[in-house]
Amino acid sequence: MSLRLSYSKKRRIPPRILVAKLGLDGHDRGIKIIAHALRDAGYEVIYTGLFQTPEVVAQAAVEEDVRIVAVSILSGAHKVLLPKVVKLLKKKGARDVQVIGGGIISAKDAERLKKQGIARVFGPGTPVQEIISFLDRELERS
Amino acid sequence: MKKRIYTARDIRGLKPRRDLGVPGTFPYTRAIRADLYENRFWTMRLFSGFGLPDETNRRFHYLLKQGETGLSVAFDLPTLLGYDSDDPQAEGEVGRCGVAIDSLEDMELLFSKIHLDQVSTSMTINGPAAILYAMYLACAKKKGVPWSKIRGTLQNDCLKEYIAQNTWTFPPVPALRLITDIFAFSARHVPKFNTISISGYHIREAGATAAQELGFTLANGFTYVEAGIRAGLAVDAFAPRLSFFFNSHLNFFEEIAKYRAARKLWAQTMKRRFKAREEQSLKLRFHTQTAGCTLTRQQPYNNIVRTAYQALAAVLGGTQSLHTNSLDETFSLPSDETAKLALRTQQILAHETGVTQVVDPLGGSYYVEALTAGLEHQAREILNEIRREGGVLACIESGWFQREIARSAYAEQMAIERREKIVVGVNAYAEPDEKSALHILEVSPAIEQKQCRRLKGLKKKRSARRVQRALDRLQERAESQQNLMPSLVEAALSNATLGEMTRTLKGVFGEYEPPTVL
Amino acid sequence: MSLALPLTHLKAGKRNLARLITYLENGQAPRTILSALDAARKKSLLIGITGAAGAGKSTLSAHLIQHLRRPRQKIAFIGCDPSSPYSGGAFLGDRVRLGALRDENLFVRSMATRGAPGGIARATPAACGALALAGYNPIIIESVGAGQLDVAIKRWVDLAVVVLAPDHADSIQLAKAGLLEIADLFVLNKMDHPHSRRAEQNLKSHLSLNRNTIEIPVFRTVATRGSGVRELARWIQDRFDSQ
Repeated sequence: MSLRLSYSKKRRIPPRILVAKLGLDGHDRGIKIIAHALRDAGYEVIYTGLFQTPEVVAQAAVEEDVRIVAVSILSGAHKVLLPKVVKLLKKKGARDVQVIGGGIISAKDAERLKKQGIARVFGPGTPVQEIISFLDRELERS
Repeated sequence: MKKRIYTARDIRGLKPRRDLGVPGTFPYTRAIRADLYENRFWTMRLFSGFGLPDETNRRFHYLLKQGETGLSVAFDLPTLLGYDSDDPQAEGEVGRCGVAIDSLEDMELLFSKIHLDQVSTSMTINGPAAILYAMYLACAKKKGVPWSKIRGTLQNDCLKEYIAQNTWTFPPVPALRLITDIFAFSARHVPKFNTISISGYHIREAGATAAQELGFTLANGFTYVEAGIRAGLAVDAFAPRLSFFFNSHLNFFEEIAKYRAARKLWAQTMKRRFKAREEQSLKLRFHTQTAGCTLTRQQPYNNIVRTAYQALAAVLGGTQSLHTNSLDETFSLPSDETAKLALRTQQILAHETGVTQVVDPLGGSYYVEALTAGLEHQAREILNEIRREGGVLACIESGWFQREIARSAYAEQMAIERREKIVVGVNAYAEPDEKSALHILEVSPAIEQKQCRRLKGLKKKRSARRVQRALDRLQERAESQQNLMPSLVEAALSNATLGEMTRTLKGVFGEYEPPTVL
Repeated sequence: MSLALPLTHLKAGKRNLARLITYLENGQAPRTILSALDAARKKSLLIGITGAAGAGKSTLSAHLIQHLRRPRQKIAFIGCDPSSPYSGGAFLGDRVRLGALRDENLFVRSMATRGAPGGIARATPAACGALALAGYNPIIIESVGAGQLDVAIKRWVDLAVVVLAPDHADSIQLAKAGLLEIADLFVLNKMDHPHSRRAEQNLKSHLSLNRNTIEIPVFRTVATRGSGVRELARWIQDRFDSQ
């Protein structure tokens, strides 16, 4: 299928991103769409698979040397699990890796997560284009 | 250009008696009963569960008081996957998107002061369905309610877990065995319980089209029938208790046509391919849930309207039972208030709109009949393709279903992003700086420790020897080919936990590894 | 941006090593370092795993890692996936199978081919050198799995393992894929498949036709259950420990 979105042009060095499903929920429609769209936008998308723990995600981020980890979580466990990823990344000396989250996350929770070091939270229905533009900007900066 | 006018030419091939039947007669395209909604509306049940068993029990009593006519249990993720609340995997998830049930004790709390012979209970549980079912049966036994009197539905549809929902517990082959064990056991001992709810809902939510939802779900249904027959059951012994569960999405007439086509395809195949004789084996009964994936976070009150239209489609399509989503489900689990409003949506439909006065009021419409025939045709093609690919299990193993669904989901998302498809409040009529004033249900983080403490207490007070004996017997049975239900009920009565029973079975059955599909 | 890391820091933690592999992938490492890594590669046993998509390479690798390693031994895995010729992007999904094996002594890296022929990325050999220098041994490299394209891997690994599933093991497929020429050993996976017996006979009779292939060992596994992998691991250890 041809995409007519305004994706940025082919890059010389493709950016790498880790996309992860954290916790026990198996809803992977969203993350698959994001992964697919990111690949079409020229990203190298490393996927962890379902049911990952914060430890596995943080270790993967270090080994894959990504700048951004995109975590999908729809179970309501985000309050516990997302900050844990940030903490573990710090512990592993990867403080510069940004964690972004997507899922059923209330505005109040999103605010709290921001204070705990989550770079950005995207709610249901966020256009893929908006997410990709955000990532493009962040990568440009770093 | 989309076709805008339908005429008699569009249903030229239609033979009313052959293709439609009178409501209540083969092939049941129009309805499974002539007196649909005459004496009894559909069952109004709201999928509910959060936190501890006692909290959910309070919600049950609240909803029953508000006029709900059936219960529907939402379990939390650890329960859905077969983990106890104190399992390391369960961290952060206990009671989050459903109620935590670890043992018979929890099940008894969940149904405290509820008469199991007077209310029907639907349980959304799949991987470890047999275990939770055993706990429910044990609970009835302890309350002194005979199993012949309990009514309800077990979702128990593992195939769609591998295809779309991803909450599996065992590999497909032993999962099918557990399912046919439930068929056989219930036919004998729990005759009024629907042993399975073959679900298109989750397939659709994962991104499938209406035709895919229909085709994949029926393919799964036929696979269960084959499994039952292969397990030595007579088709008419278990087919009458098979039920279905469909999505109600936004394309109003297409959804109605989908339910009609489903009834027809099921009846014809059951009769012709599986030689079912009982009328009950031919009638496709289904539950409907409005499409959660169509709800938006933006302008959440719009969700009430979406849900109402979807509910109307389900009723015009002849559903037997209905769940209406709450407006706040893109934020959290529903609050008391929004759940009540969702229920009122159904009550208004039933009592005020008059749509229940005539059975299949759209029957004979050029458009709806043409759509019905079209969906039937597409579903048949999908069924043929699945057969060519080697059947449902082969398609799961190769990732065929998962790829097909991912492709449709991506296409839909791109259509929205290109504004070929309008979502009000999202890509049209958006209010960029809207502030939400919704009161959101909060599940206390303290419940996880509370539930773990309760579990610890249970393990202390139960007889460890009795539990071990029951688990040993369960293992023996699992290694043989005997029906597992009696030993599961026995294990439940011994207060063995969900996690313990699941581990015992995994020891024999192994773990499932899904194909990687992106 | 260029490499600011002395190679001696590689053992200090995964982060330096991971960053170096990024530089290698991006072509940002100086020539002197590349030749040092080239030499270092020989320190570790390199096991290449190839075979058609869907043959079960990743699942087999996951089990092989468990069986090959000894306590406190550092072991690495590199999984290669193709880049899209249209967008330059890629899906790298090999971690899915290895997710459960997290620990400090395992290093997993995904690499996109970025247009390189041969079923691996241009930087894969150098990345192996970096891993070897950091003390990872053995290193398992999984290629894209596109058949004859993967022949390149043979040139610099110590052991080329070709994984076949029963549906891919008929002689025409084998010959077409050019996999016979590169295999040091075959793994017939999915031996619980109904056609597995016939596939095995097919493969063996095909191998017996040629003097060069008649001696190639064939292992039978069911990777999803891990069966047969222990024997494979033992064979590998016996053969390379003696050297």
